Amino acid sequence: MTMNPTQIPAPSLNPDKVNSAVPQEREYEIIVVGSGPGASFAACMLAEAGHEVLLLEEGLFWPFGNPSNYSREELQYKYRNGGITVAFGRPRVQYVEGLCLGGGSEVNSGLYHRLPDDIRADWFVRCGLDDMSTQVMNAHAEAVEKEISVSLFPGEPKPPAKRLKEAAESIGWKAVETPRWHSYAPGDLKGQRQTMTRTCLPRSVAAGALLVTDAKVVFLIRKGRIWEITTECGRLKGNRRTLTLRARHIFLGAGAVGTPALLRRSRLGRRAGDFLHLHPTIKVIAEFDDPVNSPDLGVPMHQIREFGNNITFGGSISTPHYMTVSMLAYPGGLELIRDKWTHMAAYYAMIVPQGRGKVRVLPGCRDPWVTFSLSRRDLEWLAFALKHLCRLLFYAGARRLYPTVKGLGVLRSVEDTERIPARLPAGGTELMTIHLTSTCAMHQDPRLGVTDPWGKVQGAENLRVVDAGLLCTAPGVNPQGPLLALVRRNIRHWLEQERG
Amino acid sequence: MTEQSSLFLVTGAAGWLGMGLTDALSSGLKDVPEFAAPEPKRKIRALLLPGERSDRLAAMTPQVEIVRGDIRDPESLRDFFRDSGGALLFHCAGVIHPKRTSEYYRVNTEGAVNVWKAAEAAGVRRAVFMSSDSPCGCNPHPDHVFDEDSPYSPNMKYGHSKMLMEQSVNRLTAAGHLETVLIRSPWFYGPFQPPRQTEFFTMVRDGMGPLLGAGINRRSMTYIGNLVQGLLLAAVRTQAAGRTYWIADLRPYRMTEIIDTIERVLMRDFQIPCRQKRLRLPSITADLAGVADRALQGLGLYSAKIHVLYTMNKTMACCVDRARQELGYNPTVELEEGMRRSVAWLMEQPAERAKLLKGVKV
Amino acid sequence: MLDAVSSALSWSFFQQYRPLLLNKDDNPMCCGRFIQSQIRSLPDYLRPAFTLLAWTVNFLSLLTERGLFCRLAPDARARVIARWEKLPGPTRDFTLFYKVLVVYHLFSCPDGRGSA
Repeated sequence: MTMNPTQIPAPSLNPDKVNSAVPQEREYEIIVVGSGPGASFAACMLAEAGHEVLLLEEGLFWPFGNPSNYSREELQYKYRNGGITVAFGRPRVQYVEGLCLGGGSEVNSGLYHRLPDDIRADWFVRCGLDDMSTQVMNAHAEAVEKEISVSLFPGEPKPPAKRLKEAAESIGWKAVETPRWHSYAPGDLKGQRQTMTRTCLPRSVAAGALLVTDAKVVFLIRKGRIWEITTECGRLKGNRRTLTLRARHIFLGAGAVGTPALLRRSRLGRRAGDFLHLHPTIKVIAEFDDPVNSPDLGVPMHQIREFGNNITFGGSISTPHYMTVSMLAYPGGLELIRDKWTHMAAYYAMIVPQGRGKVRVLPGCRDPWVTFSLSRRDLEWLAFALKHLCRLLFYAGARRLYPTVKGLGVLRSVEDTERIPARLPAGGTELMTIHLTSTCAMHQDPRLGVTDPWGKVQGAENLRVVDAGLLCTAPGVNPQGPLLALVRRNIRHWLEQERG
Repeated sequence: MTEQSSLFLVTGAAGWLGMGLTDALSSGLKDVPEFAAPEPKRKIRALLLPGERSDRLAAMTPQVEIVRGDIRDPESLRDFFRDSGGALLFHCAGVIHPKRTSEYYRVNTEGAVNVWKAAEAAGVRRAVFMSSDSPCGCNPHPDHVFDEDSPYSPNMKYGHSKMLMEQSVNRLTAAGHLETVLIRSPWFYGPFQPPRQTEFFTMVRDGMGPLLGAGINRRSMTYIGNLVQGLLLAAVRTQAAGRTYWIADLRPYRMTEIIDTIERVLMRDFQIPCRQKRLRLPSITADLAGVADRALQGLGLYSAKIHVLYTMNKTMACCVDRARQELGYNPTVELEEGMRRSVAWLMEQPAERAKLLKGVKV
Repeated sequence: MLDAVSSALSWSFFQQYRPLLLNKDDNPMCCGRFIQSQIRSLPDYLRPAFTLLAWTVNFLSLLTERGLFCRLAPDARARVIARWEKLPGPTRDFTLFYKVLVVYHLFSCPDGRGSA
């Protein structure tokens, strides 16, 4: 893997200018819907290849760090539905999506993975995605890494990660440090997060793209050779109006929930939203004898990948307010956070499930309805994962563990982990996820996918998907890296086609 | 901040607040250092409606100059704003209990805009605009209080007209050259009160003090002296420019406490016998009055009695922390002392005294 | 109705949990507004359910406390909430939702981290 240790000077976007841009009701060559990693990367490639690009983002531009990361204001202003979004089912899976310029890249912890090779092989064989050999995908990944700057943390790992890593190594488990979308100047441990508003989006603007925020695309219809795009502008700024824009090509990157919802609303992509996949994640709060947490902790970047892609352990956001949500169920939990939060940290276990979900639009409702059903096997895997994570945490020196499973109670020793049932209860398990994928999965068979092997919506001309909905299955790792490699592959293919 | 001009402009000067303000400007208010002592050089120009009674105001101090005009008519304000560059303006004119609700908008909203424009043209240094608690409406539950960041939820048409006034003033100020401060104040009490307030006291005396439901709803009230303190501070504190402040007594009072206090003051301090009873009505009476009030106002009509009944089970409470922190506002008078001063003032007014003592054997 | 019940629940939980924190600078108005903003941004298909629950909560307290929930004094509201927390059902989940948000708000204030 190539690493880019040099700090790339961040080009900057002017928030006032970006937030006040208004599109004209005319025909554009390309409209990109959304500005998450996939959409921004695509917009950048298209604009730099000399095409006319208009990018429409539903949220507003908030420069990175304002509101500050993991703060309450960030939840209010940069997340969809204030961070309260749920995939219904038993158990429910709470999920979050960024709603701001730059999308998920602005709010996630920026962990980077390449597409695991076994997943690549699976997609290649099962979904008929050709031109996806290891060499080809590695070449795309290398190019992405170079363009956005992916680095390992140059300092000592933070205490919660260090403990996890050392405990794993002591029992011979595989612990890896995950690189991040980050660039560090020599000697600078803080570095700079390489979000889309610092990378692809300023580059798109430099190449002539127009970014418009507070513009939600609500309907698409093809009129002759042109797409008509009904867009609601100014809802967040309180001067709502509806515009009809036209474009020859549309690239949809409104997210794994937003894109299929828009397709369904527009009666496009017959199976849009049918194959939702995600990584169900269960959390446990660990209490240690000595301090591990601090206000500037961030998210620990070591992951335990002993169980391949199917089960991953790692450290989670551990600010007091995020931990309270998990600790409310425990008597005295809040007092404990008040007095000992520096001795506590949150960890997660994440699986790749068998279960699938759906994205649907309800008549008269703006927000899509999302469901997900976990299989019995998934609940068994989650139980297995939780049990092994808890054991590992005891080896790492945890005194007490507080899992988010109702009725399980506080775990005080390795022996207590035997109380974890073989299958987590569907009724009392709190699950969450931050990775939603595959709602517009690529597949050569239109009955088994929504987009063709190059990301074009089946049965619709000049309409392509560029967000995590494309992924054929949940990759078992943070999907941003695999997605960008796929988007690069697909956009290059499109550019070659256009050139004839 | 030092005084730059000794001219003070007061609209609505013959009203309850206008009189209190004029009194403080002429005889001094010890709570505000800049105005602690009487200052004979201070000139007060009072705007009164044509034909409005001016004798009490004129008798108050020779420093007051009475000018006639109507804020609904911008032309009529010319004399009031003549040579008023650098002056401080207190816009206290407004209408709360009109015959027709259209008056609200003509006086409270359009009138304030006229005053703003005339003041800017005249080069007034700063204008303090008097608003109300009504733009925020009623609190959702009895322990709730509004602060300056609470969203608008105007109470009927009066609240709506005052909300529009606040929005217009803020919009004009953002684009113009006049410094403004908005003051929101709830239910006043204290000297210079109008006859309707005496009626409330006589109801308490006669055992008809209205309690709807349990009477646990709270009301912020403002002793007129506290409010004048707030207005003067808003006029002179540099950091107040462009801000909005709630001005009221330090804490809101429960409805039961308000009635108990009035009764106690009447009996103990003025030996006025009270029946010591309450007019207890089910809470729903006020809700029904609300329905009637809304229906009447929908027709453009207004009945003060129905409106007041509607507010009787509502909580209208605010928090004055911002004024305390930024202006140094320190409400020194609380309910009991304020009510005592209020009744004492009434007893000095022959007509009001007669009302209070009606049927009482002295 | 939903706004009023939301505010009443937020204030009640705020008063219940604020004593936990050492720094008392936070105020219930700010917490109430945060929760109001979260409720407004809920997915729209949840709104009818929330509104219905708010009505239920408001009127059910007529039976036990002889007053609408929003018009009760804080101590009476606390009694009502304590009762709901024990009874399973949608009202418990509804109140729990507010409790989570209030606690999240309290601990997210810069000084909400207690003594450390």
